[in-house]
Amino acid sequence: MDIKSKLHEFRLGMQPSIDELKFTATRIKSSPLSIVGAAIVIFFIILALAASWIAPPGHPSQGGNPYMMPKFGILATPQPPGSTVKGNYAQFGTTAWQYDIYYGCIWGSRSAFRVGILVVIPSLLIGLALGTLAGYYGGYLDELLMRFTDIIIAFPSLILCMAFIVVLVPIGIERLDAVMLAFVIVGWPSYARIIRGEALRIKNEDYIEAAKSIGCSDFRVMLKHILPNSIYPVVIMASLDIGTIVLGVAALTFLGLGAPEGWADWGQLIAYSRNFIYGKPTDPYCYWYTFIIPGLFISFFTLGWNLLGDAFRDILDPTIRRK
Amino acid sequence: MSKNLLTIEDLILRFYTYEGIVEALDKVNLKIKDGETLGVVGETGCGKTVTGLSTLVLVPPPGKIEGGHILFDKKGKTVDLLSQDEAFLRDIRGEDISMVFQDPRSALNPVYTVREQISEVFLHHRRREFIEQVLKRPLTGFERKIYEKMLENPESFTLKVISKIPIINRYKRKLKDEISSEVIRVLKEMQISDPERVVDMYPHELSGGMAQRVVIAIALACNPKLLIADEPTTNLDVTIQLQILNLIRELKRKFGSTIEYITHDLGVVAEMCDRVAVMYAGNIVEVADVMELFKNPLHPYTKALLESIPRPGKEFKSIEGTVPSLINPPKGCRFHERCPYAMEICTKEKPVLKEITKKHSIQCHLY
Amino acid sequence: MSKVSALIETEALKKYYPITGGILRRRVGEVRAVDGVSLNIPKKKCFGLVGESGCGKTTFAKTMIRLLKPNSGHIYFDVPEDIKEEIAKLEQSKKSPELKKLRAQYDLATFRGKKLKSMRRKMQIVYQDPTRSLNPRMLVKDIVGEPLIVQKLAKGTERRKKTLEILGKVGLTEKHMYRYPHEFSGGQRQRIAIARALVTNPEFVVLDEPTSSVDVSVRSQLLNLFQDLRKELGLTYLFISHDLSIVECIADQVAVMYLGKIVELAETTELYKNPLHPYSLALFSSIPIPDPAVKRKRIELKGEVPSPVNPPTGCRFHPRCSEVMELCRKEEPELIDVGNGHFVACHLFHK
Repeated sequence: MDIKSKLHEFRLGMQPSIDELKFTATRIKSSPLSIVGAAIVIFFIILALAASWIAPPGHPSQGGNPYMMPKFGILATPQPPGSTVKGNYAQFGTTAWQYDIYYGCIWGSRSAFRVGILVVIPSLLIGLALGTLAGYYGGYLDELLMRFTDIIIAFPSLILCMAFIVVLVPIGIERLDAVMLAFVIVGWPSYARIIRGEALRIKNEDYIEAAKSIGCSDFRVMLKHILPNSIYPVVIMASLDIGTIVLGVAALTFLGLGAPEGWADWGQLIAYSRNFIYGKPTDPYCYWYTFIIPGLFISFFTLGWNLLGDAFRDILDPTIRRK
Repeated sequence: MSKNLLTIEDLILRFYTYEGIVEALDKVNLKIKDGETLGVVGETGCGKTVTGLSTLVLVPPPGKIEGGHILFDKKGKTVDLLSQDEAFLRDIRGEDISMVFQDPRSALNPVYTVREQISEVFLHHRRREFIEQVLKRPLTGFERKIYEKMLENPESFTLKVISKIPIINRYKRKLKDEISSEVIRVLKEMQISDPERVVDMYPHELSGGMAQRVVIAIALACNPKLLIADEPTTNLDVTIQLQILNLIRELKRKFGSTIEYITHDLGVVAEMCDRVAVMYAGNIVEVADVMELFKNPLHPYTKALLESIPRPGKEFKSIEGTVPSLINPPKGCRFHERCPYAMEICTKEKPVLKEITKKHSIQCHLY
Repeated sequence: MSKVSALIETEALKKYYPITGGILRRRVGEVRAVDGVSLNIPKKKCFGLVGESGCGKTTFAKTMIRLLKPNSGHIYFDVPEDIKEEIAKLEQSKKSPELKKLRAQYDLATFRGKKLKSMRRKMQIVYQDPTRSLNPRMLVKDIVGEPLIVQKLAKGTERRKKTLEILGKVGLTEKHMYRYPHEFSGGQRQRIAIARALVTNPEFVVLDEPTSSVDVSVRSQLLNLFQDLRKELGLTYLFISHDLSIVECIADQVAVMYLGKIVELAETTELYKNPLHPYSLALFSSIPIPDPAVKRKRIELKGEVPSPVNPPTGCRFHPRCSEVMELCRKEEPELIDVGNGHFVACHLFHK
C-alpha cells in the first residue's frame, strides 16, 4: 500500500477514537472542577518545561548542576521576598543559608514530575502485569500473589524507605533514588489489586471466551482484551497517586531522608524552613515565605492531580458516562 | 356494556437524554374495559413498557410525561392519575393497580425473604384490617391498648417511640403472625405446593418460575382491579411459561381482575387476550378483538408482524428497514419509511386512531 | 445412527463441574451438565438442539468445540469412516497402545496446544448476546480481522480484503469497519459476530440461541442470512434454541435434551409431527400458537426443572412423567431406534 492510502486508512481508523474524544471533551467541559484540575496540571507542566527560561541557571554556587539551588550568600537567616542579596535578586526571598526560593520552586516542579512519574509508572506496570496474571489465571498464582501483596502492604512505607536508604546508599545509589525505589515497591500492590478485580470480572465475559474460540493465546487475551477494558480505574488511581507520591517524598525530605542538600525540591525548601517556622516572638510569622510559598506549590500540585483524577473517573467511568 | 376501567388519552412522554429528546409516546390513546385482558404488542422500543409505567406514574427520569390524561375508575369515581399527588398515587399502587415485571429476580429485593416482601404490601395497604383481626385475638392489656392506639391514631409520636424500643416492641409479633398466615394463603393461591418452605427463602434461592409466582403474589395480594403484566414470561422456560399463563388465567377467573398484558410474543397474545393493541414507535396503530386481529389485520405493520412469524417450509419474512430512532422521528406516520403502501399523505400528516367497526380501530391513512 | 458423512461426532461426552465446599474447598459434588451425550452431526446440514435452561445444551456445544475440556468421552471431527471403524475394532479387542495412538491423532477431546489451535479455525461459535460477545473497545475491523491474525491466515492488505469480503456477505459495508460495537443496533452487532465466526472459512458453526436477544423483525433477517450463508459456504450448523418454532423452520434434524442427556432425536418434520418422549410431548404442547382459533391440548408439567447436581435415579424425567413406571425409577433408558431415523430414550418404547 502506498503512503496515501496508508494515511487514509490511519485517518479512518482514528475517526471513532476522535469521536470518543470529542464526547470526552464535552464531558470535561460540563464539569468545572475537571477544568480547574486540568488547568493546574497544565500550568505545572509548562512551568517545568520552561524552567530554564523562567529561572535561568548559571549561578556559580550551583556548581554546573541546574538542579541545585543557587546560594546567594552565607547567612543563616532567610531574607524576605523582593530583597537583593549580594547583588542577586530574590523574587520570593531566600530561605535558610540563602538558597533562592524562586529558583527552588520553579525547578522543584521538574523534580516533582520526575519523582512522580518515575515512581508511578513502574508501580503501574508491575501492578498491571502481576494483577492481570493473578486475576486471569486464578488458583495458586492468585493466592500467592495476594498473600505477597498482603505482606508488602503490611510494611509502613516510611520504615521501608529508611531501610532502603540504609542498605542502598552505602553501595552508591543516590538517596533520592533509594527512596523512589521504596515507593515503587510499596506502591504496586494497590494497582495489582484493582486490576486483579477487574480481570476477575472481565474474564467471564463472552467476548473473552470468543477470543479463545478463535485461538488467541492467553497472553494475547490478556493484552488485547482484558487490559483495554480494565485500565480505567487504574488510570484514575495513577493520577491521584502522582500527587500523593510527591507529597510523600516531600515529607521524607523534610525529615532529611530524601533529596540531597541544596537540591531544588519543594520538600527540601520546607526542610530548610524548619527552624524559621516560628520566627521572632514579636513577629512570629516574619519568615512565612520560607514555608508558605513552597507549601503552596506542593498543595496546588497535589490538588491539581487529585481533581484531574476525580475528573477522569467521572469522565471515563463507562457506567456513568452516558447519562 | 362494560365500562372502561382505564382510559389513556393523548399521552405524550419524552425522555431528555444527552443525544437528544426521545419522543417515546406520541399521543397514545388506549381504553381498557373492566374485566377484560388487553394485550399490548410491539417490538423493543415501541413504548409498550413505558405505557405501563406511565399508568402507575412511575416513569424514571429523564422521562417526563408532558401531556394527556390517564383516567382510572376508582370505585365508581373517575380520577386523572396525572393530576394526583404522590400520596394518592402510593395508595393506588398495589391496591388498585399493580404491576408484574419481566425479570422476577430483579423485581424482588435480594436481602429480604419472600415473607417480608409480601408482608410489606399488606402492611401498607391493609393495615387496619389486620390490626382489627389482631384485636379479635386474646391479647394482654398492654398490647390491646397499643393496637387500639394504632387504629385511632397511627401517626402518634408515642407509638413511634415505643415501636423502636427493643423488648417492648415485641407486640409487633402478633401483627406479623396474623399477616404471615395470610401470606401463606396467598402463596397457596399461586399454586405453590409447599408455601411454608418457600416463605422463608431469599429470592436468589428461588427458581425463575417460583420467583415469578412470588412477584405475582405480591402484585395480587391486595386484589387490585388492574394488573399490568410486562412480559412476565419472556425470561422463563417454555414449560414454566405454560404454568404461569395457566396460573394467570385461573387467578383472573377467580378474582375478576382486568389485565393489561404487554408482550412481543404473538402466540401468548393469542392464548391470553380478549383484545389486542398493536404499538409501533410510540403510537397505537391498531386495536381489535383478538380473533379479528389475527383473521383480518388491517394496518400494514400488523400484517407484516403476522407474516414474520416463522412457519416451517416457508421462507422467513422480515420487515424492511429498522425501527426509526425516536429522537428525530419521521414526520407524518412513523411507519411510512417501511410501509409498502406508503402514500404522499403519509409523509406529511399523522393519521388518527379511527374506529372502523365496534371491534376494530386503526391509525392509518389507508382507511 | 447413520454413519454416513458425519462431520462431527461425539461419543459419550461428559462434562462435569465440581462443587467445592467446606474449609479446605474439597470436591463435595458435581454439576453433571453433560452426562454422556453421543451425537452425530451430518455434513452441510443444520442440526437443532432444543431443551430448557439447565439441560446442558450450551455446555455440550462448547465442550464439543473444545471451549471446555470434557471429563470423558470422544469427539471426532471430520474423521474418515475407516479410521472410526478401526478405533471401534481396537476398542473391542482392548489393544491399548494402538488405541491410544489413534485416539491421540484423531480424538479432538485429547488435542492440545498447536494441534488444538489449528482445529479452531474449522469450528466457530456465534453467541446469544452480541452486546457481550464483542469487545467494546475494539473496532469492528479488528474484531472481524483478529481470527486471521491469530490463525496466521492473512496479513496486511490481504487481511483487509478478506475482512471486507466477509462483512459484505453479512450485509455490512466498509464504513462499518471503523466503528465500535456500541454504535450499532442489536441485529447489526449479531452480524458482526457472524462475520467474525466466518472469516476463517470454518466448516462447523455453533449457533447458540443467536436470535434470542434481537427483535422479532430482525430475527427473520438473521435467519434468512443463516440459511443463505449455509448454502453459499457449505457450512454445517448446530442450532441451539429454546424457541421451538424457529428450530422447526431452520433445522433438518432435531435433538431434545433434558438434564444432560438426549431424550429424543429425529428429523424435524417427523419429530414435530410425532413426538414420542413424554417430555417432548409436554415441551411441544406448551408452545403458544399465534392463532386464537386453534385450541391445542396442553400438557402442563408439574414441578420445576430439577438441578443437575443430583439428578433423579433411573430415568431423569421420571419424577415429572405422567407415564412413569416402576422400571423408570431404577434403570436409565437407552437411546434406541424406533424406525424412520427416530430415536427415543424411554422405557415405554423398550422393545
